[in-house]
Amino acid sequence: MKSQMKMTLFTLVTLLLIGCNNNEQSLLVLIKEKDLKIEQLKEKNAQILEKIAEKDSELIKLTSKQNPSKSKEPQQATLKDGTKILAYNWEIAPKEIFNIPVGDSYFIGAKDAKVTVIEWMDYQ
Amino acid sequence: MDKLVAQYPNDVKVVFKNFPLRSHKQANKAALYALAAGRQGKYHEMHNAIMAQFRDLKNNEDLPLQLADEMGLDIQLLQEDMSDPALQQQIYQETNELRSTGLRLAVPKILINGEEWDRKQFPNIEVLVKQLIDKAG
Repeated sequence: MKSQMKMTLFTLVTLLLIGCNNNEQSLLVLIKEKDLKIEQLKEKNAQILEKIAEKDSELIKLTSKQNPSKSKEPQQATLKDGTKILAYNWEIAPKEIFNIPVGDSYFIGAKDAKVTVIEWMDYQ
Repeated sequence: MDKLVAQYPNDVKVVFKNFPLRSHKQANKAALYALAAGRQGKYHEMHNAIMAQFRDLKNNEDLPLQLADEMGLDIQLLQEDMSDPALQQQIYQETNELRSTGLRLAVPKILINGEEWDRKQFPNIEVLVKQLIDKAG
């Protein structure tokens, strides 16, 4: 009787563990599916942004034809924190100006330069 | 970029930020090597050396070690610095800075005075930078 109970208990625990394992596996599959969907959405998003960029470019060309004297003149622009900078594309197609700090990043050139170029890159 | 700074040493600053793409498996490690070399005052040298041989990096992710040796860096110190979480944190920080802009996550990505460089409209970055310097007076 006692051994039967032990056997039953053992079977129940085994089934519970298998159940947990299956549950974990199905969760992992679910996560993979979500990751895939996220990647697909990112890709779609990138494609849309690329199309928008093409349209922006067309718009810039058309606007600069209408207003050639101002097309390539840098203009004063103001960042959200009030900093005034020179933006080259501001008047013909106002674009967002990003205030990215130098932080701990390495740089070459003068610390208080008139023009700051920030380049994100990878080594491959 | 070196040419740009050489041309206008007092007026231009070029800031290098990492954005190692996940699809480029060796890129993050190479970025760590460059930052670690920076702690020995050789960031830019390492950056340029890796860039000059980036194709070889694909088959040899520890190519920067060889380059570091050629530069006379302390290899043991370099490897210790490589494992400092602060360097990886810096890469995350720089990566997040680009993400925060909402711009397309393709590299190289260049901002000039905070504005994304429009290569189609201004194919020559030197001309554009010169114009901005002149205008700033």
